[in-house]
Amino acid sequence: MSNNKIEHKQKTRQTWGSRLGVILAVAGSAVGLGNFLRFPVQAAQNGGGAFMIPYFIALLLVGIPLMWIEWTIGRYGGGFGHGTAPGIFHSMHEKNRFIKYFGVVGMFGPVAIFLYYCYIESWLLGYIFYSLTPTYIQALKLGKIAEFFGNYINVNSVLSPAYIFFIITFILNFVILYFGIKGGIEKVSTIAMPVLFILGIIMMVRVLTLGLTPGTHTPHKVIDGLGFLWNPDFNALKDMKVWLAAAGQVFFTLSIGMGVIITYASYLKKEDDVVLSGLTSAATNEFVEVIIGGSIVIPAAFAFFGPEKMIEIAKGGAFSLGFITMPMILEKIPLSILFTFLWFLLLFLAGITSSISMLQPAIAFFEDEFNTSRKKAVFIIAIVTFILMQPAIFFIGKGVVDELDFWGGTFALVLFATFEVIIFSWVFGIDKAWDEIHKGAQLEVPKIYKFILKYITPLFLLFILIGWLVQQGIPFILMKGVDAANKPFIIGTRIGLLVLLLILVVMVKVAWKKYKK
Amino acid sequence: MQISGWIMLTIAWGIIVFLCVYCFYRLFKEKIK
Repeated sequence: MSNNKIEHKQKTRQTWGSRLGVILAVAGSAVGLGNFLRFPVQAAQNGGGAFMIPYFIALLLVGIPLMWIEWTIGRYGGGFGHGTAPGIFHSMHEKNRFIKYFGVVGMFGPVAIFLYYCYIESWLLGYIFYSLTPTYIQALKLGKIAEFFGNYINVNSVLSPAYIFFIITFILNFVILYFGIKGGIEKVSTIAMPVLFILGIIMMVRVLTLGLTPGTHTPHKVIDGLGFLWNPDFNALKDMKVWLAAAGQVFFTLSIGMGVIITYASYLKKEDDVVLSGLTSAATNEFVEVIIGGSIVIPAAFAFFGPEKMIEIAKGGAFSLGFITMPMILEKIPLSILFTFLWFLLLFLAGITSSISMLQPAIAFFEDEFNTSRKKAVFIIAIVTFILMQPAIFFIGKGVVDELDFWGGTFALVLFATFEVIIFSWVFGIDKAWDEIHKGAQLEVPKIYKFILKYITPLFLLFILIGWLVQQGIPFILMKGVDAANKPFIIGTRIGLLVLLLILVVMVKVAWKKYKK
Repeated sequence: MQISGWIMLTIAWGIIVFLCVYCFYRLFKEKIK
């Protein structure tokens, strides 16, 4: 047995308080803004109801298998005292001293996403407050909501309202993390997730009954809005872009490939089930995405603006849909202030349960590999992320956020998932992997998945990686169509991210050097 | 909304609701601690 394993066995790691707690925490990490804003737009733009065919295929061949892989390797690594990918990969194949470096991508991704995600989340907290103020209500009534939004996100100084709400949101995230897995993340998830679910159902029922209750007359039928999302265009299936969009959506929605689920699963006990728990968290996320998320923004926007404006609205993007279109719609119905408030609260809860999960891998890395106390680890990560977030806040219109989203939220995700599946099915070995999945399992994985995990999932991931690189990645990397004035900011962000990646590599090297001693 | 739209919606919602009910039924059957 290596020194690494001996040393870790002596440490006591945190654990989850209940099984429902960990399921809700993973579902909370998966359920984010994308469930309500990204999914409906993707579906509407990519074949409507027909989009669900590649979506479900990707869910079965990539989404659910990766969910099981992450839960399994997380629990396995946790048994050796590792909560992040470098240590987990190392414990899966100790003979190879380079394998741990593949895991660095799984720590880099969530931190890079957090650098902009937390700021966007803070807009929601700001809007929860503003939705009750006369200034905002007046702007809504005068049709100046887009102007209000533009002014709000344009931060000039640290005294700007958006910056103050950012500070509050930032502190809130770290306070939750400070209280740890059971006292912080689990407690928040077990409260926030049921509330989010109820709010989602309330918003969904409100939208689907537009035109049926007094004072809610709409120029178009809301049911035709559902049709806009669900009427299938089977010709779209001939387009590779639609398949890539569906696979990408499944990827992003389940929080797979981020390195977050493996960290959460590392706090499980050795004989805890992962099959049923993983499937339940995926199913919960799908319910919130397809059933609730698909029944709010698109049907509501269609009912008020009609089919002509829908393409324009969908092209406006997720932020415009959430912060401009939806409040404009809600303003036209009775109890508009209440529903606008509930809308932003719903999105904020979806956001915060995701953002806390993004930082736990970095905190776990300090705790597990450097024996740092949780208090100290939270403090270090807070300082570092606070500094790194400043460019995303002050240069928001200069392409910094797009860069962070591309490298952290897209490229790192697909790449890390590819590493995970290859290491799990091929390096660790599918037979050993299959036994590991079924330890303490309360549900048997169908045998066909042994074949899927070994051959189909890796191939599907390579298809996504190559297809997406050719279609969007290379033009993005080459900065095609980018305003010349923004290029220095983009290059600066890329250098910053590269430095972050290198620092993580060095930290892994230093941590393992320490084990050797 | 076209009939085909209703069919797609029913299938998708049906699969997801079934999956959720099945998973939570199994979880509660195993008595969540």
